[in-house]
Amino acid sequence: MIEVKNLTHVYNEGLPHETTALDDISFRIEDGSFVGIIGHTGSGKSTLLQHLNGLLKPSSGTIVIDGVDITDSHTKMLDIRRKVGLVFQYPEYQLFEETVAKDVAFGPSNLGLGQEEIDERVRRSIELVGLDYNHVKDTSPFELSGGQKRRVAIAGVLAMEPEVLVLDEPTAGLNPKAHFDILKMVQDIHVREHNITIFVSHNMNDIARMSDQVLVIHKGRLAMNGTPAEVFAREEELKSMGLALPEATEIISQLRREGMDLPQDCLTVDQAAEAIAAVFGK
Amino acid sequence: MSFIRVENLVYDYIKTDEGGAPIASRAIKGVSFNIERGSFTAIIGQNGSGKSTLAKNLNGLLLPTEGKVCIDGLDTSVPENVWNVRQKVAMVFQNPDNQIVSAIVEDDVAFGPENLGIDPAEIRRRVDSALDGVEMGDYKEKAPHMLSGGQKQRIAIAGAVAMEPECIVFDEPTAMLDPKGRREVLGIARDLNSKGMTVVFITHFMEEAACADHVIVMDGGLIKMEGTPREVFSREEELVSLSLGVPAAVQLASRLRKRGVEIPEGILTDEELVRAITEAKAE
Repeated sequence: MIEVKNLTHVYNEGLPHETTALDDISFRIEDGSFVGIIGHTGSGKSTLLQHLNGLLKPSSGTIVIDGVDITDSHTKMLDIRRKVGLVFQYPEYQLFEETVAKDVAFGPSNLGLGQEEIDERVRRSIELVGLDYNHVKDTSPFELSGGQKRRVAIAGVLAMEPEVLVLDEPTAGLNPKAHFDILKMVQDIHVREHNITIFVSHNMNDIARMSDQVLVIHKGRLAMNGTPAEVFAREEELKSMGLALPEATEIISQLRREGMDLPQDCLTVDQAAEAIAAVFGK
Repeated sequence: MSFIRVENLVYDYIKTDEGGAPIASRAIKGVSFNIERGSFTAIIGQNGSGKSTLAKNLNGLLLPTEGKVCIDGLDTSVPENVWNVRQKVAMVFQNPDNQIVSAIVEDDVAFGPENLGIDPAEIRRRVDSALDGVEMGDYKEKAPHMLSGGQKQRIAIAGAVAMEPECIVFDEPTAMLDPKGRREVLGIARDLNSKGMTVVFITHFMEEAACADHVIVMDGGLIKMEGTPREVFSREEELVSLSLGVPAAVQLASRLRKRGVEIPEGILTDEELVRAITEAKAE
C-alpha cells in the first residue's frame, strides 16, 4: 500500500521566484491497483512522480510504501529504487549500452547481486516486455524500432523488480498500433506481477478503460480522487481545468443535454453503444 | 495543373552490409497522387508505412529512386530546381527541440531568410509577421528552451512561414505534444491554410486527419485509401485491419447500425452523431 500524507513541494523556497508545485496532497493506493493520473501540463504530475521514487524530497509531508517512509532521510536510496521503478517520458532516449542485455542489466548490476541472478532477471524482464530474449539480447538497442526501444527501456526498470511501477506518459509519440501494444504490455505485466501500476496519460480513453482509481492534479493540488466513473461524472469541473472526457462519455453527455435518458457512467464506445441501443429498445 | 504531382514514386534507402555491398530497402513502392494548390491534405499510416519518406520527397530532401515528383511544374530531381523547390515547399518536423538553432526566438525565425540573402529590413518584416501569424509575437526576445512544446513547435512553424513558401509539409508535428499543444499546432496549420497556404499534414491522430479536405492512407509503402475524411473513415474495417483507428463517433455510429438503430452513413463528428441519434429518437 502507498500512503501519501500532506505532501508539499516548494521549488526555490525563500527565493523571489518561489513556486509551490505540490500543495498538501494526500491519497492512498491499495495493493494491486492500477492508477491513472491526469492533469494539465504544469499541474505538478511529474513533480509528484519524482517524489514517489525519491528523486525529489518533499518540503513537508510523508510517503509511506509498505510501512517504509521513503521521505525519511535514513531510508537508503537503493531501497527506494527497489520498491518503486519510474519509467520516464521517452525512456528510449536513456538507452546507452552496446547491447540490449547489457542495457537491461545496468540497474540490477548496481544492486550487488550475483551474475546468475542478474542474467536471470535480464532474461525475465526482456520476456515480460514481449521481446524475444535470444533474438534481441546481443543486438544494439539503437537498431530497434521506436516501440521496441521503449520496451527495452521499460525492461531495464522491471529488472529492478520494483513493487510499484510508475510510467510517465508511456505512449507519448507512439503511433496507434505501438500505443495499443505498449498499454497491453503494461496491463499484462500488472496481471502477472500483481504490482501497483501508476501511469500518467493525456488520453482519457486509456485512463477510463484501464484504471481502478483516477487522480486528478490541478495547480499542484489533488482535485479529484475516485473511480473513473466517479471522476468523469464531474464534467464541468474537469472542463474548467482544461481536461476532456473520454470520447464516448462526451457523446453521451451531449445526448443527455438533448434530453435523452442515458446513464452518465458510460466510459467506452461499447458501453455507450449498449446504453443508446437500450433507449431504442434494440 | 496540380501544385504537387507525384508520379509512380519509388524510394529505396541504401544501406551497406558488412562487406560494403549495397542493400536496398524499398520504403515507397510506387505511389501517384496530386495535391491541389490551397488544399489541406492529411497523410496517415503506421510507422514504417512510408509516410515520412514521402514527406521528405515533397521538397527534395530525398530524391526519387524511380518516378517523378513535380512541385509547381518543377521536377525535384533536376539539380537546378532544388532551391526553387525548397523555396516553394517548407517542412516542419516532429521534434521541436531538433529544429531550433538559436538562443533567441526571433533569431531562430530569421535563420532561414538570412540564408536566402534577403535585405535586413525585409527579414525584420517577415520575422514579425511570421511570429504574429503563430501568435508568438510577444515571445520574440525570449529563449526557446523556456517555452512549452507547443510554443516551440509554433516557433518552428514561424521559421517555415518566414521563408514565404507556397506549401508547408508538417511531418507528425503534434506527436510529441500534449493535447493543448496539439490543438495549438493544428489550429495554426488550419489558419495558414485558410489564408491560402497549401498544407500537407502527416499525423497518426485520426481526429486531426478528420479536419483535412483530403486524406491519403499509406501502408507498406503504398497508398491504401484516398478520399475525403468522410469517404475514408466510413471504411472502418479496412482502417482497423491497417491498425489505424477511427474517431469515436464513427465507431459508435457503426455499432449502433449493427444493433439496428437507424443511423445514416457518413457520420464523422460528435455533433453529427448526436444530431442523427436525436432525430432517430424523434421519429
